[in-house]
Amino acid sequence: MASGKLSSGFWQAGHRPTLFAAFLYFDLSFMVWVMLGPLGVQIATDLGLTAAQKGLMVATPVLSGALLRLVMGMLVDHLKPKLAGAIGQVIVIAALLLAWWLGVHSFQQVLVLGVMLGVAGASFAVALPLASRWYPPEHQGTALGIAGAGNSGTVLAALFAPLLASIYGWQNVFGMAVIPLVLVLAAYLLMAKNSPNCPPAKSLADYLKVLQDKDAWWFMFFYSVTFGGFVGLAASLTIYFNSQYGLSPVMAGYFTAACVFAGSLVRPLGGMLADRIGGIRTLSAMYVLAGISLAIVSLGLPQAWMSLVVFISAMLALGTGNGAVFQLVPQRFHKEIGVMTGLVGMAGGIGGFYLASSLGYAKQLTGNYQYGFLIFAGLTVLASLGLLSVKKRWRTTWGSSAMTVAKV
Amino acid sequence: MTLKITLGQTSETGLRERNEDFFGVTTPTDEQLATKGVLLAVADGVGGNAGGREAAEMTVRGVLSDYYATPETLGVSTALDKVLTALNRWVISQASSHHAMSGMATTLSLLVLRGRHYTLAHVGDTRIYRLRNGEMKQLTTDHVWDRPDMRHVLKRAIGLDQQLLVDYAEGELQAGDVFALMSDGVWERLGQKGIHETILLYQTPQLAADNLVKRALAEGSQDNATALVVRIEQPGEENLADLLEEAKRLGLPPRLKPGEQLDDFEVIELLYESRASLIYRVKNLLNGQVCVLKTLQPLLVNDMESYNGLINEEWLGKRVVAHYFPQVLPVPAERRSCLYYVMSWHPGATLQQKLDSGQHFSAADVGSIGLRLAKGLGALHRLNIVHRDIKPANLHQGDDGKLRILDLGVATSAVTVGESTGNPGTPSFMAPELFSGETANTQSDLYAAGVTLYHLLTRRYPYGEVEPFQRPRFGNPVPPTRYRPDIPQWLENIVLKAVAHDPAMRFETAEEMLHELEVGERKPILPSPPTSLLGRDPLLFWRWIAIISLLVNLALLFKLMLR
Repeated sequence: MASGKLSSGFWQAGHRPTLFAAFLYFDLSFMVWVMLGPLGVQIATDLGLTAAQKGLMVATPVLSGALLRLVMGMLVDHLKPKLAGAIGQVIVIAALLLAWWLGVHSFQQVLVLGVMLGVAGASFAVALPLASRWYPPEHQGTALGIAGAGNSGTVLAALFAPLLASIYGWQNVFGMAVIPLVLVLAAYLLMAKNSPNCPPAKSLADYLKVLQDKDAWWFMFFYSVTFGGFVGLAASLTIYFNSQYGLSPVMAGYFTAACVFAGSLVRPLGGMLADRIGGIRTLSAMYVLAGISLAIVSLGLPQAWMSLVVFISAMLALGTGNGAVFQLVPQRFHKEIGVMTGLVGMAGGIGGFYLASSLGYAKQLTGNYQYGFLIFAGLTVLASLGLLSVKKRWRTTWGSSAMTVAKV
Repeated sequence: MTLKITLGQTSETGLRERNEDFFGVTTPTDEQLATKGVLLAVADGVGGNAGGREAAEMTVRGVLSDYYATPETLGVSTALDKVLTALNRWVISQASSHHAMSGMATTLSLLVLRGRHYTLAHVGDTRIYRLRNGEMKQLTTDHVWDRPDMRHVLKRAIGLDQQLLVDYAEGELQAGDVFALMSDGVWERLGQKGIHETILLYQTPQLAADNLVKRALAEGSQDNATALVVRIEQPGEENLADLLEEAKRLGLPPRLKPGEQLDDFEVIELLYESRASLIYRVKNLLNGQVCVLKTLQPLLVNDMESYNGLINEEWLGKRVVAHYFPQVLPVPAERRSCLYYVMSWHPGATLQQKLDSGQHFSAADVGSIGLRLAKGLGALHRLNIVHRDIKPANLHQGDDGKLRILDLGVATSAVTVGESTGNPGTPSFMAPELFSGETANTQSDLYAAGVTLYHLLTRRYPYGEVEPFQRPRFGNPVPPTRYRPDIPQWLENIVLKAVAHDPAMRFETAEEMLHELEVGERKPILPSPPTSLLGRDPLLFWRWIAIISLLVNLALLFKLMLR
């Protein structure tokens, strides 16, 4: 393996401060993006929310994050990534400060806050190009992996938010979150630098052109199941553990953190597995595992630790699937990669919104979460069928550009 | 834009009795100028009484005519090498059979100007100089013994040795370049400085050539003096580039329904559709002939890589004339309104279609398919074309019993342009070395042929199915008898040899594979020994050894501590 040589070359290439700044920015953005999830139990108690409202509350940032990704992507094209990132961070900080100052007193206000937190979720569209444009193609995978490790920010939120909320009250957590955000913003302004080479801006026509390809739709769906499952569960699990097993918000937060940690840790493994045994094979196995886990969970296990184990296996499968999807997308959509990452990322967010809100509605309508999980398990079956059709279509001749040795 | 040159040539006998120098130039036009280029050659014969002149003349005349008879797909240096090797043998045989000519040999310096490139071939002590931007450079090395008293004794020449070793060099052409080919009668007297001055002094190549020879003789050259001077007025375009321009102008036809008409062709049915291409069965309305029309998916409009592929495919298809391939049919450019090409249609089905419809292939069937496949591949490889996509879906078994190799879409030859990194192909049929970025060659085609036979026999792949974008590990292939015990041992050995992990263990040529399939049971080849992990991937092997020994040691330590 040339990994040793590669990594030493990697540190020589590109711009390290920018990569580090992008990672920090991404990490903290993800932390605040899913923040309403771990705080959900306490917020819901104070505001007296129904199950469906809880679901919608945690799902809103996910959806707005997904949609705002496209907006942020356009900002990146027109304003350069650094400025776009700074604007995004200022909006998030302002929103959190306002929430802390004025307080959040109604369901509508939570939703508004959720929409604003979505801007943090859209950091994906800024941090990745900011870092990766500095690197030559053969190092871009590594650069994206390091910046993308910011996914772990979701763990921070689940670990600390409920604990702080139980001590200082959840309203104050918004204010406290601003502290690291401001520090990171300062570091970001100092360290990040726009790369001299920037690809041409993407037009709407580019998006439409890529959507004529059947594979594009399938990959959006695949990611909406894997990433949607991952982020939907990350947002909902605290509430689930609390309402299903009566765990305290802090304990439920820890349980959630364990699941999310497992899911974000195996993402690179998914990429490696896809490389070695094939992306379709990896994804198929992961969909089966995730589907079975979700079906078991839907039965309503008697003990919290049992469902924790099953959730972890679901999250492992979904996290690996995320990595596998993103091993395939850059290679399959070699030329349209910029447009495709935007579209696939958006689809992932929409999947997350669907799962989180559907769990809430299922609880509201039927009294338990069973149907929410079962329908999502059904989606994994559908995705497996989609994989079969893609696999059949892919047994064909591939052009040399598709089979380049350099891994992107 | 075609290549434009001006020429000058002179040869003088000088003080000698005979002129043993010989030179020649071929300047073809149109298509041949683009594919083959201009050839200039200077030879200086030696030895064998009258034979020196004979050898020089025969060699130059031979190369001038034979080079243009080689297949266009060979590429310049391969084609030259084939021609020169044959000429060398011929000169030797003439020298040994005619007493008067014994010991004859000749030097040869030749230059092929094609498109934007030149190729030179050189053996002996004639020389080629190039003048570019006022700077003079000698492009050849004299093949003489490096001792003062032996400076006229050739180390290498045509007719000297059974094994001919020719120097080849390639480079780009620039407008204004001047090339000068000359015999030792010229350069020995003038030296590089004198040559440089003379060429700079005279603007027209003819005057330059005349004066090179005149000055050499005036300065006391004892030898025959020959000079060939050529100036590049305008370099040509790359071979297929003109066609690509044309294709961009033409654009792609829309998706056609049966009954619709495109130029002179009426669509009968859509035969096949892949991600990139559309293949219709059509009827030529001019003569009623049923043929196959291949074009690209309308989605690929302005995708230069795909355009290039289709043009390359048609270009190669026209040059592969053998009954193992469908034949490309001529469509006059003025009757073609879109980018497509037309080839002969043969009733039948591809092997993949037969597999899909559940047909059972007996060992005898597969053996005979292998024979025909090896013959077809041999024909292709002799033209220096690598198919790169041999698989059941690209093998067509006609109702006439003939096997035809389809789809030269990703095939390469020496003249293919627009090469990018990476190898195209169908992953499950790609040889292991292609995944690590090596260029496809005839042996990787034979690997694909082996996988094809394997798949026909067992419906599986020797190393498992490989997905696109996967970088698989290759272990030992599963013997096909594991899935089908009725396969005879000799056939299994052939298939396993064809799909060997190490290219050195495979068949070297299609003819070798053909031979083994022909003798078959009568003289079976030995099974190739399974390679161990140590042989395949020593690093991984030693890593495992280290890990295991570490674990054993830890276990022992643990046990020790428990005491």
